[in-house]
Amino acid sequence: MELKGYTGKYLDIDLTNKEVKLKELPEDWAKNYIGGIGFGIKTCWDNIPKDVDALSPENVISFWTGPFAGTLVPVSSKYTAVAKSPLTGTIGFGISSGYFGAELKRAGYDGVVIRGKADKLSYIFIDDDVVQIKDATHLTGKTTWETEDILKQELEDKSIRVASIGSAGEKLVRYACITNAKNRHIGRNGLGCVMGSKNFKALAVRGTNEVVVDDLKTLLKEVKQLYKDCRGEKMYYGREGTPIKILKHDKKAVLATNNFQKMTFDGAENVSGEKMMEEKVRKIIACEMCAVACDHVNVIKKGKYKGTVGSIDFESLWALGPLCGVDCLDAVTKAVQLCDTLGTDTISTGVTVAWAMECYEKGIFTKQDTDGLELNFGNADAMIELIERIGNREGEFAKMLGEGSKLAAQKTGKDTINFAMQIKGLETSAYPFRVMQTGALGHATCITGAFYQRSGSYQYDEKDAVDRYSLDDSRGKLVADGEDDYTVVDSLIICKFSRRIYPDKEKLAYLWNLVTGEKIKYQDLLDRGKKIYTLGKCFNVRHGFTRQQDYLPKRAYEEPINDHINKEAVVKMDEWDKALDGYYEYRKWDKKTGIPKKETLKELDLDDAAEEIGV
Amino acid sequence: MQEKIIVCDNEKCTGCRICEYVCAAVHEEKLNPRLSRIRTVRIDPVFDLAMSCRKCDNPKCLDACARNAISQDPETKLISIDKEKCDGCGYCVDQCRFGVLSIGIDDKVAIVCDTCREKNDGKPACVDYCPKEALEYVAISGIDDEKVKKFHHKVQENIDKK
Amino acid sequence: MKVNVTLLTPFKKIKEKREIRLELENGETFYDLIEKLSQEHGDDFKNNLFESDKKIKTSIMIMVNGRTITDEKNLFQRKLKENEEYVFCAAIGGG
Repeated sequence: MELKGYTGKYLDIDLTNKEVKLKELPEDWAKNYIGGIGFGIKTCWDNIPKDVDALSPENVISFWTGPFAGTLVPVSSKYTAVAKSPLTGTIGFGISSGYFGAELKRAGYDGVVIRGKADKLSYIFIDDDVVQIKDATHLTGKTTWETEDILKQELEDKSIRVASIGSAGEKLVRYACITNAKNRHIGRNGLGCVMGSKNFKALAVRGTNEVVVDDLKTLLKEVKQLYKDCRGEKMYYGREGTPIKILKHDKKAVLATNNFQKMTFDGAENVSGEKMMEEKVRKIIACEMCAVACDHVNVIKKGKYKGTVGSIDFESLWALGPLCGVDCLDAVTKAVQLCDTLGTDTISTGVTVAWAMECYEKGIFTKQDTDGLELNFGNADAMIELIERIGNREGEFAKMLGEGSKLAAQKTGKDTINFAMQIKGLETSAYPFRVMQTGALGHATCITGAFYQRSGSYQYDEKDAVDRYSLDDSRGKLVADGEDDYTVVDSLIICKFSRRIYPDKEKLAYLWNLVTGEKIKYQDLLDRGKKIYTLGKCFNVRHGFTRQQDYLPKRAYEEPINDHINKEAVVKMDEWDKALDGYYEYRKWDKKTGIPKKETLKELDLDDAAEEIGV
Repeated sequence: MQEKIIVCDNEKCTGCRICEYVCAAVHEEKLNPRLSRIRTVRIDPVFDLAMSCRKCDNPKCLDACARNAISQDPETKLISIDKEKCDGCGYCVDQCRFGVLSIGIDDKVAIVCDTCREKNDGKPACVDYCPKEALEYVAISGIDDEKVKKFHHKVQENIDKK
Repeated sequence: MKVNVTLLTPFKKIKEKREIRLELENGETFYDLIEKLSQEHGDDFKNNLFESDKKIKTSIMIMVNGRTITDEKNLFQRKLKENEEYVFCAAIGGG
């Protein structure tokens, strides 16, 4: 591999045949797909034909780092896992940090591709150039935390890094996550479920080699200031943290409560970031190579949940707090710990439980249906019990919820799908559609389902830089530009919390130069980002997705929000269609179908993709 | 010359390992925290600590060495390893109760903190780069040894072994 | 003129309350509001708000009745309205 930063090698492991192959990273990948999710999307494109069931051995899950992992670039010890998502059927991926990414790079690999299915529960141990598929049957049912501790003990080295699934992944909860370093997860699209479907319990790695960059001396000098910038005034992440958004959102009346029925929460003060800092946060810790340090770890010192340890960020706090009407920080910490140890995505868990709560309050579910749980909004005990059952797949009701809110709503019928707040099956985030409509557009066009982390388009609503209660065809550009930009970030991979230290994005291109040796501008990276994102879109097209799936749940179009700030806030269908039109036009995709046009794909050197999706 | 060592406040330390990265970069010109002279441990859920050579009065590492490869400067108390004499046996690593010696993964000889004399303008790089100012370069007499006494075994138990 | 003010992070709680009912005898503009708050809550408030004379820090967000106005033109000349709700909070993204 000509460019530095990469190892130039990856592993291709077939669990069915128990084969481990060492492969060369194709020479043109770096300049076309950057790394991280770029490599993952390319791998899925190359290896997963249409009609492959996400839970079948034919699905392929691959773990990738980018060229920055293991270097001095903040914050770069990141890795991604990419596969066809069992929750959405689209391409699915998540990004995690902690210590894992850098260690994998030091072991000598840019990535690990995993195919097939092991005949019994197994784990993979990568020990530099020795790679073994080992028996993990003794780890059956162990939490993600227990799994990491046990493997470190068995393998007799506490410096070994472990990415694992809990009971939720083993039992195929569709939004099961992959956990490393206890508090760090590959969430959202059910990558943990894919691992479970392959009888693949954990990936353990020890890497003792150096990582080679092009200009270490200059890099060492440059990062000194960058580390200082990570503590700048805007960098709340390392101080009060994102949980302070709870009160902010409440004041702005965008704090989705009781399954998005209201936008303010009476108990907001009790679950505020401010209260959490004062009373619950024991310490704020960091990932490898992070000068920000944003991991707020709560330790509950007294009461019912004494001893509970949970690492909480805004989205988790919101999803298991106000969204479910719960106003107790101890209970939220307990809920987060359960999600983290059993291995479920906190957002999907919260949104699915909130959906179930609304059904219960409407009388659609009885206490018998819920296996005895009184699922009223605000009933923290019931929420916690339900989350435990979902993670362990105990009881028919919890099992149904483990399929995700979309499938649960489809099964339940009675128009409950109207308030299953998901798009393409992925439960949505804390930026409510009706009161932050540019954010809504970004959630809908996102190739992995309802999520803002592919575009960050909600930021225009947050600043009221646009009219957030309406849409027009100009918003598509904001979303698409955000998508290309974030795709670069997720391919390099650097932490989005470190973005604020690069007011001049050319600095990132400069760091790319110092690491890889390739002299380019940021626009070159953006072009690659556009190519990667578009290929991800092609994957979805191959798997049957068109414009038809880029719509919001009916609640967003039919139930206006009215309160002291929001007046008849609702998404108007004609405006939505115009906004989608504007997005596709800007992307140069077909307006009617949402499918990339042939010329557009040719411009991006994706000719083979054009042919395959039939344009 | 005043004897000084690098100390870490475990409440401020976040476990970011930046100290390990820059130490290895400065001493070995390589990106590999395993070549660092300062070592960190994280003990879940929130205990993080960095440790480097304590410049002990009666260094156990020196006693352990069968090849006289380890020496201590009588004035600065700095520990030095003679690379020519060291055969990488690892006895010094085992004997240090702070876990601050290791056998360098590349050239297989013992490595220990030298407080960056002749490097990084004489200022310990780890202290220079620590983003949370958890590391301090202080005169030995100013150390609160109670803390170290309380935690040093944790480092020894948890430090990476390979 | 009476307006409501809420101070969130990084502004600290004032006497255990975040919410203040502010009365301005001769105040009309947003700048008057800030002046009043600075008088009552001292340098702490001013230092958190301003990066230099008359320039608000980019790490701060200001909302009125739920609408973010930090980047509004002529912000300081903005006319206050009775019972408006002003929020001083952090400009923070993600979560």
